[in-house]
Amino acid sequence: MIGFLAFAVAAWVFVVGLYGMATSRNLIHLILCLSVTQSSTYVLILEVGYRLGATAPVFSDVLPGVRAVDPVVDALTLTDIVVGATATALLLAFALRVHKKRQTLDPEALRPMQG
Amino acid sequence: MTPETLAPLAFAVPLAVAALCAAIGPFVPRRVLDALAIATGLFCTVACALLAQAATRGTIVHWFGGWTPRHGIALGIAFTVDPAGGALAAFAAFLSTAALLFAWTYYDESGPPFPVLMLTFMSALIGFFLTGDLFNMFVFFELMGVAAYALTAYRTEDESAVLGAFAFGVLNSVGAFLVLLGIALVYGRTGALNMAQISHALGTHADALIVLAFAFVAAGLLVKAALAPFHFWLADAHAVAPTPLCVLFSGIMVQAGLYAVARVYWSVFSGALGGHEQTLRTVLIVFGLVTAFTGAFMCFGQRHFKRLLAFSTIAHTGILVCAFALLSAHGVAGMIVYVLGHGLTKGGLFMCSGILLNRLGTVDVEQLRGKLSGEWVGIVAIALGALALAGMPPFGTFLGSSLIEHAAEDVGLGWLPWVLLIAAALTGGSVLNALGRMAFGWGPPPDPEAKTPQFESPEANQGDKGFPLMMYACAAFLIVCACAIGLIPRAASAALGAGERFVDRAGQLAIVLKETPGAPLALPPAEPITSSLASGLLAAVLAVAFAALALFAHRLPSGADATKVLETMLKPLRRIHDGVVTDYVAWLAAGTAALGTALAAWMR
Amino acid sequence: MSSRARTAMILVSGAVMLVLILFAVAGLPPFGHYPGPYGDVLNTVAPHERQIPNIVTAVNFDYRGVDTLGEEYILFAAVAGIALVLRQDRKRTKDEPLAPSRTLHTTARTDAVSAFAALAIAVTIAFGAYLGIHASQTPGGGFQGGTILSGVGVLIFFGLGYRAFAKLTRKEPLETVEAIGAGAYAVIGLATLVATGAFLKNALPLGGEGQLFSTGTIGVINLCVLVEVCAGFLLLYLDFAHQTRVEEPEPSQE
Repeated sequence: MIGFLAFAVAAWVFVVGLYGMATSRNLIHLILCLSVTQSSTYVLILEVGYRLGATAPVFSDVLPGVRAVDPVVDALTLTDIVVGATATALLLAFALRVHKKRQTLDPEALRPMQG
Repeated sequence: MTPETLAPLAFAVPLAVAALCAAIGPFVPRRVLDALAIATGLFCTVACALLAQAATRGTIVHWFGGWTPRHGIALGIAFTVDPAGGALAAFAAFLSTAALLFAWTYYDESGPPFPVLMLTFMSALIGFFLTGDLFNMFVFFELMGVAAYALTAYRTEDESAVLGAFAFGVLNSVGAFLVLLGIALVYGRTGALNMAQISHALGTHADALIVLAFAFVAAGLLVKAALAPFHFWLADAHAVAPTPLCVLFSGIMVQAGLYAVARVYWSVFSGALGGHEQTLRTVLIVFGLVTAFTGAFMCFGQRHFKRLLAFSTIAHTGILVCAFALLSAHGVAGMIVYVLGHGLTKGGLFMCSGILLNRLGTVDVEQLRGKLSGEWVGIVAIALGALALAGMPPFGTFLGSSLIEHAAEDVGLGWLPWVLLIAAALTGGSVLNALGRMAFGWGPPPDPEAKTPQFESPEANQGDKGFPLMMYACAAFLIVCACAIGLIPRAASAALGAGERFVDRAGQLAIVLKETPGAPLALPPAEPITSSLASGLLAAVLAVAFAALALFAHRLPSGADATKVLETMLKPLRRIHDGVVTDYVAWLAAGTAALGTALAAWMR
Repeated sequence: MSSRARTAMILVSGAVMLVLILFAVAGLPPFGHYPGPYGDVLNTVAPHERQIPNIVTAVNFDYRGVDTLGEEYILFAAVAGIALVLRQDRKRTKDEPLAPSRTLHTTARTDAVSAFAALAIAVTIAFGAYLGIHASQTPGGGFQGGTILSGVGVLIFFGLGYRAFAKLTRKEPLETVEAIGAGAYAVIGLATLVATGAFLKNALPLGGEGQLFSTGTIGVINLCVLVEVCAGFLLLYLDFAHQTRVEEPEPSQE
């Protein structure tokens, strides 16, 4: 039950982030909701590689062979975080630029093209 | 140097050169960087072509870091190159080189970012086509994305460019997270990231997790591929991105998303989902047809020429998705040839639009009315491109369509190619319609009350720059190549062989994990295309007919009323494409929910 | 689409997606019971083969080194893109951050903030460097250490002011450094390709376990990443910080 709850958290955060994005009235808020959705993927990836009662996969003060969690998911999450942070930074720069030109961050007022 | 080492070379050399350009950028003139970039593009084209050719003797596998599999478990990342992937990687490099050549005359003193980002983008595309590891594919998806977002916003003085890039970035990022969701599910089940190993571990029976993992990965990749309702970002981004970029976006980037769906399906999920082909086929064809006709109908009445071409790309994505949906080697063969033919044609057409922008200062069809007369090279190029879009022989799109036609008959969907033909003819017709207005001033008089939409400022100094030979040469070259693809002898046979190799999951497993050497490509005889000649010519005729209707219907007694009725019918569709990024996100969620529900409900 | 229609659409779609994802995760192995085999094989094999205690670093820079190469270039491309979008006038790039300007928001900087920043800078440099260099021995690595080190730039901006920050983080050398960091990673891979036939094969001497200079190419790549991430983020902060300034024709006081 607790296990399923752990996975359910990831599902909920993913969907809530999408909801926030779709109902956003401010581009910065939208980007942060994107981060929220992304963080749910970190949670899921890490949960999938977890092992109860096991230690970190760093064998500097424990001997190799001790029960450890999966190191691959740690590496994947690290990659995911860097990718996400940089994409977020780029989108924030876009939002900044738009604000400078149009003095607004409301998605409904900012339409590049229509029809 | 074995062919095996070509794979990492083709992918890593552009990255190293990009860093070099960034490092020496402030100290050398821009031309040096451009030349470096073009040279790298040529190198990659040749390397990937050699790779593809070597792959015909047996799928090539390169294990990065020297980590070959132990006891059937993959430790590292592999590039798994089969003829299809190699050919598409070569095409990506080729198109990038052409775009860089086209950009030679385009930009003046904007510094190193352009070649640096283009090289990174090309490298990501090449890696995307060559990789055999699921997470590696995600990393290249994001690399491709970030470089593309940055390049789309290149003309930062125009804030609609930045807005277009923003929508592009947001939607594609959500797509990437969906892919990651699917990867996490698959990893949790199988503990593997190598595609062949995952397919081995998934077994032959599908349950909710497997079906939904495929649905999420496919949905995320189909955002890149601009399938409806994930397609809204494409038209906005194309209208504002610099022309060399539009060439790449419509020419190969969008199709890369679809290639990845096909690759993931065949290499990872086809064993487990194999029994549910009929359901998958139906669902995908529904989405594909909706996409094809959304794109086709939105094409008509577009004043912005680049946006018109973007909607035609969306329509062709629909056609390609239907080709994939046939779920056969024959369908894959048709898909690959069609991608090549369409990419060359669309690239050439976008280059023509870039020339328009450069010489005449605008891409607004109404403002250009009649201005194109006398430019016979341009008129012929655009006309040929339009007919190629419709699928006229001997263009590559025709060869692809004929392969798709045979594949559809094989699975009992003989009606499908005819419907797709209408969609293709509609897109070709709308380009001819625009051409008619621009070249000869035909068409109904412009509505004085219509709002003039905002349009882009010229991308380079125009007019007194003289005859931009490079631009014309590039555009013409691409259109000629589009024609040539259809004429290469045994092209169809090669495609069929490549298709067979692409869907051979067991063979890939053996080569990748058990390290048995691959077998040479079998070249099955292709069915003669004479039976498809009729439908190809019919498509061309239909395109001309649609264009004629659009141009001259207002002169007929009831024509004007009929046009008004059509316009009112299309209004809701146009209203949906409103440029509001939050709407696009809502549509993305709706599309994912629909795709997931359809697959999960009917695959149980 | 009206805002109500959009809200209705996202509510329905979101609910359906939630149900779908829940159905999917219900099929996963129970939480806390990772079945392997990828992670287990690496935990068994890596400590001996690469003389490395930190398996996560080994995965990042050796077993799955190409992913990290791609990720590094994503950072590289994003920083280039941000520079593109935020640099006002691309022609005058040389002295732009140091051109006369004043800050847009005039909150005074107190002595307490400056003192704390100075203290924090020292600690941060030490910690960031430690974390980054000891990647193979303890949790940490080039990315983590580089990001922390780049935080020093933010501390300087808040504690000592924009001018100090801009003087310290000169654009040209930083861009070159960042490019070298990124390029070096690719070049190492190409070099190992030429030398051993496999891209990014760990071909340098491995050293003893627990030593700082061990694990072959992992250590070298780690340093490249450290340099690139630090330089990249500093450039990023510079670009964003420059946005808080307003151009002024007359010389402004320090």
